[in-house]
Amino acid sequence: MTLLMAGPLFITAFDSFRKVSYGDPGLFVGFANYAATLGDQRFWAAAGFTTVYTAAMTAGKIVGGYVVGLMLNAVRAKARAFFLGLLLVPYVVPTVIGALVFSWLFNSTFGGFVNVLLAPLGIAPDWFTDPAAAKFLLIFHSIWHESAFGILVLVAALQSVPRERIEAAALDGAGWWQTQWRIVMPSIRGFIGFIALISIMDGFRVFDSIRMITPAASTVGTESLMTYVYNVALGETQQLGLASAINVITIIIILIFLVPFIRQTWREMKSA
Amino acid sequence: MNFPKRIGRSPLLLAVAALTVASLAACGAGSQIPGATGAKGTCLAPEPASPVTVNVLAYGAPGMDPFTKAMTSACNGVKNLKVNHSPVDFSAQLEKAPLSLSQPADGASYDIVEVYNTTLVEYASKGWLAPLDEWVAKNGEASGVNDIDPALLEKMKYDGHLYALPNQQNVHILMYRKDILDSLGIQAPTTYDELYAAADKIKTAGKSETPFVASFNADSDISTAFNNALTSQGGSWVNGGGQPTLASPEGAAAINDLRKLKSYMSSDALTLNNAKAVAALQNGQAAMGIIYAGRGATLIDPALSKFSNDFAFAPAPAAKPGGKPAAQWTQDGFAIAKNSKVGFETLAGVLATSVGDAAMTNGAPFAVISRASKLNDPALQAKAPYWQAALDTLKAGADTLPLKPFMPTIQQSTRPFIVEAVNGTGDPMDALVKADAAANAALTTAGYLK
Amino acid sequence: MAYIGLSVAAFVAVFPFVWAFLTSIKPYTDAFISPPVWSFTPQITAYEQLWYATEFASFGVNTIVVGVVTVIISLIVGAPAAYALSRFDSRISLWLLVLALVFRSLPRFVVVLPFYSIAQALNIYDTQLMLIIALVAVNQPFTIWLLRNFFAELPRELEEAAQIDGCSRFGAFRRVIMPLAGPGLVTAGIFTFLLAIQEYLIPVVLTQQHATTLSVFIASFGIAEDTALYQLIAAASILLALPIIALAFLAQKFLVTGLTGGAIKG
Repeated sequence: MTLLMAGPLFITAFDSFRKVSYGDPGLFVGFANYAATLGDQRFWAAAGFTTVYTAAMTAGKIVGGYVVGLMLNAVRAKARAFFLGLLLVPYVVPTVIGALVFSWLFNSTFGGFVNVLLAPLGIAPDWFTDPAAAKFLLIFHSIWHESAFGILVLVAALQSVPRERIEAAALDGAGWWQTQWRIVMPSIRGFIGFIALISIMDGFRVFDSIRMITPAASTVGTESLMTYVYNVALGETQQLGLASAINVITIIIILIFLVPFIRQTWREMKSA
Repeated sequence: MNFPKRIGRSPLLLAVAALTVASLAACGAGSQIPGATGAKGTCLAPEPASPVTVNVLAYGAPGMDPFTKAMTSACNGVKNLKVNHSPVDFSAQLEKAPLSLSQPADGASYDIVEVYNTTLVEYASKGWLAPLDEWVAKNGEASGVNDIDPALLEKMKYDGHLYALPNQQNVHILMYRKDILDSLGIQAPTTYDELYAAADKIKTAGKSETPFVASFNADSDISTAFNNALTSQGGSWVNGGGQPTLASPEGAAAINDLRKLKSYMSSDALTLNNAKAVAALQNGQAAMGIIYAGRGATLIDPALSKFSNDFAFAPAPAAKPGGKPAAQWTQDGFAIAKNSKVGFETLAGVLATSVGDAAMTNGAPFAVISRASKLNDPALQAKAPYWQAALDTLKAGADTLPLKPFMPTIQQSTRPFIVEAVNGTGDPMDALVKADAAANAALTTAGYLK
Repeated sequence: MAYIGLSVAAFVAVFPFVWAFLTSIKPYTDAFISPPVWSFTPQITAYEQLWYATEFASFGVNTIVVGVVTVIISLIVGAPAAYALSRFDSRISLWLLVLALVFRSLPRFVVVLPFYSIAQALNIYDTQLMLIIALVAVNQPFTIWLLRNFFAELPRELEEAAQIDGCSRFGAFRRVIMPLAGPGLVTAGIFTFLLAIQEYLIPVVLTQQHATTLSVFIASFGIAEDTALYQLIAAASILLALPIIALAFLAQKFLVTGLTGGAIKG
């Protein structure tokens, strides 16, 4: 199994130094693919959007998970199970399908439910072609789709905060905000880190939802690193070498973000 | 003509047909796409000596399914021959074709591949397709290939060799609500100016807020719409030296045309593909559309269209008086993968079945079919009232994109700037200069320009 | 307050599916119009077409088979690996964990094209087998990682005691550890199942018609150029979503405790 993952990784690294297409022996070109990628505005635009997307999704997931987690813990167990079940729906359904039905709400061909609600307020964005609106829509979708993960982790995490400490803080005269800030948040820091870790790994690889919601990603400014790779390797051109270089750069970016988490785990392991 | 609707467990393409044609006793098609005779047709492939399986790659669409289905239904009756087709969407076809065709000899996952003029050039230039010239020289008469308009066959050639058998052609035409135009005393517009005037009248009369529709989808269709206006204005994508020439008076005029057209469309104009454009006509939100002719079938179908009796068809208008129609001609057909492990004679026989009599008869309501004798058949003409408008548009000079391998590169690299220009209000020239620069860079990277 | 907030959140979560359901039961001529039509005669044509005239059912069976087998193999391969990882010397363990993270972060494009070549070479393109192999491979890092955290929670004294009682190391793992890790296995199983049936790019590239899954089936026609298909897609989405949602309701206890119970210490 390790081989099944390590093999392709090796092939990708190898191809990133070659000019190669399907059914083509290929030519060694050194760092030319990397130079071409890093010198391409389109790459930086995609990297920029992907970063913003990941950051917004991660923040939304954590804040949403925290708020909803608090609310879930404030209701009775039966109600909690009911609401949690409903809240899980966008998360458990395949991304491509969720993205499709989500986008229909903003699409006039399908009735444009949201557009009809917004029209009286004088808001009528071109969701799928105006770059700012399309970016917002994709981020909104990711929060809709992924928040449940944050909720799943945090609803239990919040329960694990010892009651006595919260009560003690209340006795010391701390307000609700202070209690959250000084007692609850520090004690669930690790869980928030866990959400961020998963979210960063997934955010940088976003592809499915963009393909469904804005298939014209490269023309409407919603191209992510992965839709860019797709266009280079399968869509517009078949430059496998160039696509491999972009893949390698993406992996490196993700790993850089993972370093703090790995160090944290290392510390835990040593202390265990 | 009333046929029993037989619904079997069959590939999704049947659903497409079933739904589009559904309950359309009038059009005489059930889910088995039986056509006028309900015949399965004859498979033109000889019986293979040992069992072989032929896999067909073709996107599912009402205009494509009858031809794909002609191969599967007729040829699965031949001993030792199995023809599989699982429909994919259009973009999946564009991904899967190069993956399969670029495999080494005998490594194809698809033996017969759907192509249209642009992809034919791309695949043939890479040496992925098997030439059909010899086979047609020998079997052209018996298979009906010789009945296909030579001008159509010419478009399926690359470097002098024939690589695909066209089963249909398509071209933009004007589809309009005759009832509305008649009530306002308007003739079908023949130029964009007449179209704007008609649209204004329809708006003023309160018949529709968004009287016009066309597929301006930023994904790809916007390039087609631009091409239509550009060529009709007399401009071209490249000069003789292969350098992009969009930043021209004609290019600027084309952008202005698209802006003006867009002002008569719904606010989501740049998300409209052909299907969504058709939906706006079907449900009465728009009164005039410039759309590929093959879609005409879904407007006159009472199950799909609220105004099935009210539509009429006319040639595509020109962007300026005396110009060529602002329309693009395309041809679709099937080609044989060079790396297939199935014998060529078998594949050629299956392939030819896609232009056989049954294919033409069953495809007639949904597409402008390729064979001359069938196009002249009054019984088939009655099923497809939009044919005449398409043929007239072609006669008036509508043509294909330049059939050069570099065209996709130009279109992709210029598209963001065209979208920006159509959406914006600034000088179109600014965007077109940027478009030319981007195209130049892309063509140089890809090796088409030095 | 909490009830109002939760109701709003739940509404936002579920409403797109309600909308898709409405689209699926509207007559065609009412379905694609804005502003939306609210009064219409519901019809189930789309569901009939889906069931009788498409391969929805057989792709559905494929999806379930692929999902279930992927879970079984993932757990059989992953549990011992995760256990070993949780008991190894911490330096090796860390490096293996880093490796798992690297694999977990690999873009799909890194793996699908080589997988396609492997499938062609072994002549298992478009088979459930190939799809399962690929899914197990890409999901394994997460499975192992989740399970490792479970095993790490179990005190070492347990299997030491078992070994003193004459069990082999493997015997101790099988008799003592596995039963205790039950909830962890269920959690890992559910997550693997969800990942397997949600996967899109891998089945798009590795299947053609025999092993296709519903995600691919629905997605490919969701962006198709045919409005008539959109109602079928709406119906298919609803039919696929319902059992998954039911699973989520039934299994939510494991999903909640699973991620946190073992995942990490706060």
